Amino acid sequence: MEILRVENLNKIYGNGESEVKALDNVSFSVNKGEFVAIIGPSGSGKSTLLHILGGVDRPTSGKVYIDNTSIYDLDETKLAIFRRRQIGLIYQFYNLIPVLNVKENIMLPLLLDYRKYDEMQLAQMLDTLKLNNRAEHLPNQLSGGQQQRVSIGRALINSPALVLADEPTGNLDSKNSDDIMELLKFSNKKLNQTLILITHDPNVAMQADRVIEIEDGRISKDEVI
Amino acid sequence: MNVIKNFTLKSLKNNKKWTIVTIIGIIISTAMITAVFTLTDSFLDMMKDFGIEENGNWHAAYYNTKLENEDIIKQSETVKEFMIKKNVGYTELEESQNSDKPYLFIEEYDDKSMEEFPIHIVSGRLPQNNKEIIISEHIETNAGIKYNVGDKLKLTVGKRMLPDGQELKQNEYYHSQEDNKEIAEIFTPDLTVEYTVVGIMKRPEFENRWAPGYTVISYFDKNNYSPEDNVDIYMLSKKLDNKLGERFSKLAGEIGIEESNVVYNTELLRYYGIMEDEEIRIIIFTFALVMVLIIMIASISLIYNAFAISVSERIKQLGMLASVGATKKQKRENVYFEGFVVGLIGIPLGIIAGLTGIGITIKLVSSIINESLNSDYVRLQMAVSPTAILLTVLFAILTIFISVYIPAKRASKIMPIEAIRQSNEVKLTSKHVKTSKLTRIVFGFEGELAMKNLKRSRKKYRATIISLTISIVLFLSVATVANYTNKSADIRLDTQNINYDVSIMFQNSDNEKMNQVFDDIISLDLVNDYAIVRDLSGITQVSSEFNPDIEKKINLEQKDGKYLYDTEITAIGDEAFRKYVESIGGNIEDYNDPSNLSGILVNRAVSYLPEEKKHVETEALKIKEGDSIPFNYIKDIEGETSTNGNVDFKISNITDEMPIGTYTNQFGRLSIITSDTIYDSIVKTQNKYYPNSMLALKTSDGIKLDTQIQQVFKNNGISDGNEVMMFNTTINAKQQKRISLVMGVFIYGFITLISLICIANIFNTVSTNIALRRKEFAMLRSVGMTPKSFNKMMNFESAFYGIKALLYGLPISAAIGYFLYRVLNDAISFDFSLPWKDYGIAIVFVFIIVSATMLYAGSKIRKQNIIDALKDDSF
Repeated sequence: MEILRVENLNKIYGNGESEVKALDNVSFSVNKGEFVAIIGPSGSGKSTLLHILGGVDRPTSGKVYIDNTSIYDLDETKLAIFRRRQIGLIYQFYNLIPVLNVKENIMLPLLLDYRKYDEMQLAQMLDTLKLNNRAEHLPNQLSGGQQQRVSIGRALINSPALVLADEPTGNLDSKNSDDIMELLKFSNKKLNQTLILITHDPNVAMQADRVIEIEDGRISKDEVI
Repeated sequence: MNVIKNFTLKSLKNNKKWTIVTIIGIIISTAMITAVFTLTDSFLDMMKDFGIEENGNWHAAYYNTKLENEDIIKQSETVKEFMIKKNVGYTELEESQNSDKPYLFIEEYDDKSMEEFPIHIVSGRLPQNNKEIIISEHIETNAGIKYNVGDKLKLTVGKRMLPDGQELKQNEYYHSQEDNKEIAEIFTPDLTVEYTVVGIMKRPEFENRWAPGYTVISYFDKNNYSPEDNVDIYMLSKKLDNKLGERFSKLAGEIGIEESNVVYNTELLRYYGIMEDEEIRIIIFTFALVMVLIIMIASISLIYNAFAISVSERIKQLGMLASVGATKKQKRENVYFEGFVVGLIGIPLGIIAGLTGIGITIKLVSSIINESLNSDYVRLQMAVSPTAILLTVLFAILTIFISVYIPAKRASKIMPIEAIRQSNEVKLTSKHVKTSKLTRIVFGFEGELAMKNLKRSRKKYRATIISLTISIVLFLSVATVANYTNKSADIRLDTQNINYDVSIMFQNSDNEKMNQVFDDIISLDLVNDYAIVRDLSGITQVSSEFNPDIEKKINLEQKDGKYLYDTEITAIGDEAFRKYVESIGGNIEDYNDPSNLSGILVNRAVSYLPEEKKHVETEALKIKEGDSIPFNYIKDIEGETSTNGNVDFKISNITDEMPIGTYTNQFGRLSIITSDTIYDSIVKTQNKYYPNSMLALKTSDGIKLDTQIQQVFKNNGISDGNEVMMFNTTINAKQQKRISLVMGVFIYGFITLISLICIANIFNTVSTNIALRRKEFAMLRSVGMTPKSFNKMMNFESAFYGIKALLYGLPISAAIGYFLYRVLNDAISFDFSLPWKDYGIAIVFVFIIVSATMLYAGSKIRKQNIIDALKDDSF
């Protein structure tokens, strides 16, 4: 089942002489439950692509369909609501809210939605993230690996249509990287969570079902492993 | 330029918004300090002008000094300039209509004196030799003798002597035969001189009210005198300081002038702060200082915040500097230099803005002020003194220095590692940001987030709350003072409870002239109603049967078991009395028999009950028409009062109506109105002293009537303020209004500017606060916070800021208001109240300003690309 479809995506920065084509007519689709790794050299446009998929940046032209919704046809408010219900974003630098504790940071999408949350589900999540004894801590009281686990929890809590991760292990040592990858794979395999991930690390890319390589804003390779 | 300074200039340029807000803050506060000092100077200058207008522009004088001493004075280090006056003497003015002023008083002035004494020529010119004179126009209006320019006068000049051989001076009143034969003065003629009148001048201010001679001025030519002749020498001092008196009496000692002949122009010197009587100066300076302090508090709060923010924003840069080896001193200087640069731009601009502002303000209100000055020659003009500018610069530098001191110290302590970690702020723990469960229930998640945000950056939060609180307190304190001032002005007008529009009173009892003037005025068309009011004071002993119940709460003085009521017997003139009796339904026949004392009791009294804290209006006596009360007239001879025996006074009518020209009594005072016939008979039998009469008028056009009455005065040769006092409620009220308008311009100008500083402060702290958190906001948006949610959170933050600041600001302001009330209440009594309207304005404005700033800063963030903000590493 197709969960994501990208059609003729273009993203142009600047204009005239200084015009830079970050994305050049990119089209592809992803099925539900797929684990896709995006690789490519620095400045190839992979982060731009991921952000546009996540609904936090706007394309210059082209369409993005997530679960059959063309997300850039939504207004700002509807797009924000769509993001919090259907998309989980994981950044390299965690980006947690400093005043909220671990529990609240994980539940942020639910809190913004004013939705009742399931204590059991939360406990399970904390358990999976190995953060049971850190639930009341603030982000600045956690290590980098722990903070990244919190941001993964935040991305997964809603069971979104799409989880997008921008070099989630880029800032971590190998032990922590392995933990994070285990978590992501776990969500992909056990929960059938669709996952798109940017990485520089060949070892990480190897763990995906499919690798898309981007060069100069274009898909240069799209392989199923 | 060294690298640190270069670095500072660059960061000033990069943070344009911060730099501009800070400079604007400095401009406003410098402008306000300039305005306060300039205004103080201008008012002092105006008062000096008053001093000069009164006595002339001189500091010290030697009377009866030999002309030859001129040379010593000329060379003295003490004296800047001097001028000479010669007292020629008196001439009898036999036809003078003013019996207290039967002379001309002739003095000779040298050129400099003509310049420095307040002589204002009405027609003709100044005298140029000792045969020419100018005369005071008062001779025509007061003495009733008309001289024209060109008239030649042959005058016998002489001295005024007392029988014991003492010579009388111009400041000693006329000792007439009628007053006391024993010590009556004698005129002793010396010589006869022929003078030509070349000019007519205004009556000079330095001619006393009781001066016996009209001022006549001739020209002093020293070639006409020998060095041995006595003159009066007036001097201006080189230096104006507290030793002025010492220097002039030392010089007098050297020349051999008696101490009694050394005189100082205290009227003028007091405004230079030299004479011992410095009260006015102290009041003005205290006032100015308090204003400057208020300005400084507001400005320091703004500039301090600005610098504190600037330092915390640049922690990384400062840490980088430290890591490449910048010393503590260099880091500190970095901040001081920043202060220096913004001061260098802000202070001069502020001074220019302040001078322009106050110049325009003075220009706008000058016509109103000048009208209320009651002088033709003294004007409020802007005075710019180098001292004022220097003081302004000093205070502005001090303000900036105090503001920069702590941030600079903090900057000097920044270590490289701290800066890179950016962890100079207290480590956050869950306890810091704990909010109650209720917060989420009541305000929602956005509210809780807002609350947590405030709790997180306590330092910045506190700084913002403090500046908000200071702004609220300053605004409300100034508003409270303005409110009290207005109220006390109202009370002063109110307590007089006047039921007429114009009153006219003669100073001396020249009955014939007075009656003439009164008749002339009464016949004016604009006079709608009038009364000629005369009062007699006395005491009535009232037995308890007449006492109203209210007495029990007041406790009047008692004597022999009887209550003592102060009593006024009032006559209001035949015509007015006839009308009054008619209006209350009485019979005029009851008041025609002088042997049968009878009157109308105004049976109405107001009393203040301290226990119940209110005014009540009651009857003055429990009495019925036809009853008699015993009246005791008070004789007042040289301060000793005694009473004559009782006379029975029959109360033929009782009313609530007050006739025109009389006032509502307090309880314990009685007002009895009677006919002139009866009044005169009491006065005749009791005492020969005639009290002054007052003409009270009602009119529909107080201003027009005023000019007509002035014309009547002129026709009768009298002038307002001298022989006769006129009080015009219309004009008075108008003047009062003008004064409050001027006060309002200054007070509300002050409030506006202080508010501007406060707004700049709030804008600066709140907007930087938000800019610092843009990464966080971007993140919230990336996990799906909607614009509405975002605004909601911002609104909650503003509301919490506002509420917290008001929670501190309102009680502090109320406390200060109460304190001010206690201080002012010693002088004027009024009930304590706070200016609720201004409190409302303050509350509304706090929310408007905070949320406007929040929304402004927030909207900029909202428009930003989420990814750009997340990547941004500048903070």
